[in-house]
Amino acid sequence: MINKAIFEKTFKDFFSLKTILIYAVFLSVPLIIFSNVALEADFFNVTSLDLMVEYLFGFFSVFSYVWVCGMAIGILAAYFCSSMIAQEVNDRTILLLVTKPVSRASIFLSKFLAFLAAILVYSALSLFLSVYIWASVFELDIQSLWVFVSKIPYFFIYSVFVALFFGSISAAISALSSSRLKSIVPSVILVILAFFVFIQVRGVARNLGVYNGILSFSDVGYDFGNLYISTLEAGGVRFIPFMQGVLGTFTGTYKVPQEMVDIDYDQGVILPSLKRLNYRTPFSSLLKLIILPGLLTLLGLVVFVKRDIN
Amino acid sequence: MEIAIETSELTKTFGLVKRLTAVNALSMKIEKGTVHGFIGPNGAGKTTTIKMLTGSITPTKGSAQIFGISAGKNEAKAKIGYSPEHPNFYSQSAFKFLVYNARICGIEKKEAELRATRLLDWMGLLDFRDRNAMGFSAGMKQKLGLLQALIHDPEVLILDEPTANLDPIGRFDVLQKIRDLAKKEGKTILVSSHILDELEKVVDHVTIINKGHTVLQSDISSLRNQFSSNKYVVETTNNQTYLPQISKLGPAALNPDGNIEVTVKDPEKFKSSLFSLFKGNTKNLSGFYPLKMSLENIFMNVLGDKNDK
Repeated sequence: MINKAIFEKTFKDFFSLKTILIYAVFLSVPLIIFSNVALEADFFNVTSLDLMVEYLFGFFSVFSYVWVCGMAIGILAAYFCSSMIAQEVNDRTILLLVTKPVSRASIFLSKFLAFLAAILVYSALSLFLSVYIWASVFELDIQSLWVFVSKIPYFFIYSVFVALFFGSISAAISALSSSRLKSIVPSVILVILAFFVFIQVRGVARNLGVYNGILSFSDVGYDFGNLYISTLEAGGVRFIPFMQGVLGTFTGTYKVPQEMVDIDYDQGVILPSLKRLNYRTPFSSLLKLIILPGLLTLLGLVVFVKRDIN
Repeated sequence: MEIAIETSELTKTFGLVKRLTAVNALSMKIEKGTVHGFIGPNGAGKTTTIKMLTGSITPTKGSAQIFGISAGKNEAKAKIGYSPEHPNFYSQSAFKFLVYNARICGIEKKEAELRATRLLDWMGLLDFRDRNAMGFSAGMKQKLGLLQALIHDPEVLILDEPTANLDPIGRFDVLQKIRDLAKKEGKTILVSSHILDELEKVVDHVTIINKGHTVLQSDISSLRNQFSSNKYVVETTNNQTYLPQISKLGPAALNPDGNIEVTVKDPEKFKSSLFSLFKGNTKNLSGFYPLKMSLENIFMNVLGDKNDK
């Protein structure tokens, strides 16, 4: 079912020097800016190293959720998947491909599998690069660095789901479009909605008591947050209440008090953990993030198999 | 004789609201080992038919088969090599492009490399094997397009305007190679082209289509006999002067060469009438001979008749 030649070529095409360099810059510039700004913040000047690592890890987790494993990998996935079919149609190379003795299902799946393999590599490299930048800016010692490195697998799981979700949207549109731009734009809009717009909308809607039904269902950012926090918790991560408050603001998964979490920097902090909000159980969110991409990929496959290639 | 390609009532309609029937109940049979010309005016449905045969578009109605297998199935596609009118390539060398195409077809890398080298050499492109195919001239692209169609050694070659971008020498070379593929390797070749005077040098059968229908299908020699048996060319010392008198023997007109072209009912009676006309001044009759119809003449005749009707 998988055509080795198509898989290999597609996989290699994702690793052109140009793509790697652009992505590395795209990924690291916001991280460098954010970490340098964070360097100036009060809570990184606490006396306890352990507490500082808690803060550093907490903020790294926020940044990973929104940027490293969120928007950046989501946009990259959309970019990769938009090239799967639409680019070939646009370049008219698809005509030679579909007339060869290989089924269209095989073409689509070979390309999609190549995307999955490539995105796994990019996700892993992104995380290591981000941890490296973070550790360099904050001059972390080896023990503190290990706190970050040991949690990379949990960040990685989350980033794969993000990539799958936005990649499958882009792949489905790519299967019926002949324009790469048309395939990538809806996914990028959804990335921005999920990781940026919904952060604002969610808070207001919850306060007004209208966060339910379609609005709640379409808040994929919450599902990603739910999965993210649950995965990290399953990996033994316990965020301090202040970080729970920050993460809650971005992911929508913690019940954040109106006045945020008060904190005494000198004393460290000891407040009870924030409560998790269960609009959906972690399992429901997981199911949603598996079923939706699965259906979209299937839709893309069916559309491509049935489609006339002119 | 074994049938390589067969279509039956093949129909393709595009559009959901504004329906456009590009191919309308087209039926044709192409024998194995022949070079078959597929001609028709622009918009006749040639490329749409070819795309249905290669499986890139699906018919709305009817069927198309390659050696009895439904067009579009992998088994049918394995028997076909297709070269589009404007082949496009990835940004990679000609050699890598051919190897990639071979490997898509399930050919092992070593064998694929051997085939790619052999084909590039055969087409005279071996010196350019490591050059990026996207930077090739239009003619070289056309040749490379033909090579990728041959990479898996198919039984049937479907070529859409294979000489469109070639210079005269390139055209002659490619047509010669197409002929060789049929005669020496027994491949069946369906070739669509607008350059009819060159096409007629290689084809032994022809299908003319218009408005999505088959208008005519025949072997080329029968077609020539059919269309030239009652046409004669008369050359005189003054064709303009003699035209009214010759017109009395049958419908006549000056052809593009300035000679008189006349359609007769009874050739023997025409010959004796013509001699009677020039009796006493035979030196004014420079010559007369049956018209040898070119494919282009036949094409114009057939489509002219159809359009008249």
